[in-house]
Amino acid sequence: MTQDRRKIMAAGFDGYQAKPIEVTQFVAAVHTAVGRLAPGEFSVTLTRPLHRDAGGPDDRVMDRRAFIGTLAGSLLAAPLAAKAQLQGNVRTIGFFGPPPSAGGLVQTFQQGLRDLGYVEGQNIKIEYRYTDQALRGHPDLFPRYAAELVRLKPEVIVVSVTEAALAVKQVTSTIPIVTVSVPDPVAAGLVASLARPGGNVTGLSRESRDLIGKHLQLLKETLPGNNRVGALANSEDPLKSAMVADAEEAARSLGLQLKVMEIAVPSALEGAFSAMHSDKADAVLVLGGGAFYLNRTHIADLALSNRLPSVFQNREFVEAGGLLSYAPSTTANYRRAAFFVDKILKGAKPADLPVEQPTKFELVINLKTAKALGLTIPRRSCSGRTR
Amino acid sequence: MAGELILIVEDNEKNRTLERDILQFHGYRTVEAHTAEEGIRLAQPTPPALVLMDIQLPGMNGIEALHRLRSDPRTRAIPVIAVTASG
Repeated sequence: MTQDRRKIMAAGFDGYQAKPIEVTQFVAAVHTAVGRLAPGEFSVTLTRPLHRDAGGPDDRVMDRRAFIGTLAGSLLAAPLAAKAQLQGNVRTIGFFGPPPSAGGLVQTFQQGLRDLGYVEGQNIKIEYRYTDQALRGHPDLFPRYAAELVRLKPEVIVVSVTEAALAVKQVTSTIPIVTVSVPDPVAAGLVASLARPGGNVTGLSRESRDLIGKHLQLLKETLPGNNRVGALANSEDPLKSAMVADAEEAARSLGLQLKVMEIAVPSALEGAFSAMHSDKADAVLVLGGGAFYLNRTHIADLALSNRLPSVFQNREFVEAGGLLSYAPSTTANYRRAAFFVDKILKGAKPADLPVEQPTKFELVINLKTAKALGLTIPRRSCSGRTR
Repeated sequence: MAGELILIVEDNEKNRTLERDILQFHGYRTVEAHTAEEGIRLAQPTPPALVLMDIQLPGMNGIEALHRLRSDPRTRAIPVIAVTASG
């Protein structure tokens, strides 16, 4: 009952958790209260997308038995897998993605492999090529690194963004490719369909295109009265036209005025923010990750200094000072990519491995940024300690 | 790994066990109390990093317990999250 809840918060508690406990929310509230999450940041993890709200059984409540089941399953599986793997030869795989300095994503992937029994230097060798330089204005590095990796003949190549995936696919139709952070592998021409990829590409979809409407809706709900939204698209992103079309369609149905700017990243960022400022934009929507992701701190700073509420496709933008994100967890995808590597090393064909779509979405709000912008976030968007 | 200490005040055994399992899985240390009085007693010598407080407890309720914690300088600064049945 909201009445009770109000009474409890008025009594001076630092947060409120309803029974039955929803595990991810409960853990986020605890992490925040003890300071494991950065102060000012608050994260709510939802186990199903907001845009599929209607009806259905409530799957957000995990009971004790289910929780213990997951726990026991993962604890038991790891040593068995480790034993099985260590008896084999050293396997070589390729990794074409962010460098170790980019938020621990490579490390998460390596940890995912270790959990499945693959220890780098012991039974697995990883050839690395990084996407950061290529995304920072040297797109010629995509085909170059892709060719280098393919020449090394790894058994599978893990790729982060659409550009990297397309570049590798261009040079090999036989080496399996696992995507980690591609917004829409079908539209990008990487797979025939999510269920039956058909070629040498499979992996994880970020489903970001479906989320663009949700991002605009969040802006509208969080910031009522804000109607003029500036959208930034990266002119080098292979999916930019599709994303722009999605954003325009969503804006029309929500009654928002959208002004799209296709820009070179990072050189045109400052100019774009000045243009939005003089256009009197109320908020900014950033379409896509990739080059934007690498410049997230700069983008968050620009949004704040131009006093623009911002919404993004990755939580890392919000950790860097952006206002809102609603997205699948990037970290979860990097961990899950190890599962695809394992399947392929055990003989599965990418053509038969369905592309996985995210099932967990996080709404992340940077309360420090909200405060700096003079915004009050509706209470229902938060839980736990929010002061 | 010595995680932060969390005090669980909860009279229902099922809920207490669930909270404990989740917290320990995430690397926290836990201490448990069945009543508000016991919770206050446990919080004083070694202040936990966080208290998870059930509201409907036999004897003293969670709100009263919070006031007690806040009026004692040793436990005043401990964050307290209410855990309660939603109607």
